[in-house]
Amino acid sequence: MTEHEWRERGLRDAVLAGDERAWRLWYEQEYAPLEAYVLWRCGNGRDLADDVLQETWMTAVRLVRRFRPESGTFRYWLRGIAANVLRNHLRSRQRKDRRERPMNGDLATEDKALVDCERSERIARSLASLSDRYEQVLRLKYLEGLSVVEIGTVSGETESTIESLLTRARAAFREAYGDDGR
Amino acid sequence: MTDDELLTPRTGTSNEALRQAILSQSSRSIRWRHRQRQAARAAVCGLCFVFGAATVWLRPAPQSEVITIFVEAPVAEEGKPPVANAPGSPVEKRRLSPSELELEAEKTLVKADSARLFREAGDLYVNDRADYQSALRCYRNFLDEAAPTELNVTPEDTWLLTSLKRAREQETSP
Repeated sequence: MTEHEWRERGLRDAVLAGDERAWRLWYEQEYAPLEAYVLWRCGNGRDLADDVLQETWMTAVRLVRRFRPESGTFRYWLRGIAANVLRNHLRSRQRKDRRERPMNGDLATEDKALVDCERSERIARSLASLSDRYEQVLRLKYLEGLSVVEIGTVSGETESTIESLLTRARAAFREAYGDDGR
Repeated sequence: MTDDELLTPRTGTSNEALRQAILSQSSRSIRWRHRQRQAARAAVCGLCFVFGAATVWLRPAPQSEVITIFVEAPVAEEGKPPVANAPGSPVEKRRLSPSELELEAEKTLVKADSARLFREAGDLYVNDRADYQSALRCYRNFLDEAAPTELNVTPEDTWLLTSLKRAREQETSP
């Protein structure tokens, strides 16, 4: 067991024992990375990201007993929760949009804020529809800003494999986004 | 928009108010859950105590063993308090051996008492020890000390005393 695993196990046990300081430490350490991830997954849509962030943290507090440091880091665990929460949000928004679109569909296209909001949601839907492998390589490239060589080192793949993977991931994203680049 | 534009995260300010709100909400949740757990533990301890106490209260009390000891107290004569095992009392004399009784009889100056003690010593020699020589000696002394009324044969007399009384009667009769 690595030092990081021991540390996260200790934090988890402290939180389960009701230690608020341990929770604050953990929260402060992981809030910014999770916020960046959620914003990226939400296509930089602030409103959706805020909802997802709040629900993700409250779910994490409720389920912290289930967190296993030996299975992955807390950050990775939080991202898993956030991805599921986002998926649920997008599903419920889709149902809501279907009901409301006939009434105000034309007005929404004229409003820039609404256009941005819609674009963010489309990005979020597109990312949510990708496989984990495609999502991972796009995240490493765009969110974490790694080069192709660094991604290859992290994931244990060759440079050409990563290039090919990135190309296919972008294509899948574009297909899901349904836009020709304009 | 290109893929790079769509996928590149925009740098923006973090929502600090949301950050603080989530922190206080999650901390409250942790505190509340901790208190709930403590209350549950206290309730379990309380229940254990109550069940333990109930077990003790409801268990039937063990049957106490009553031991009755009967003590036979010496019967007091009318007007006199009972004296247990006082020297010279009947109880004390009963415990004496025939030789001790014989010695007591020798020492006693009152004739009637001396006769009675010789007779009792003689009875014990005959009945308990079958020592007829000693019994004969005691009975002879009894006949010498006894009042004339005591020389008559009675049902309580031993066979040896009866024969001695008859012999004495024949000797004294004209």
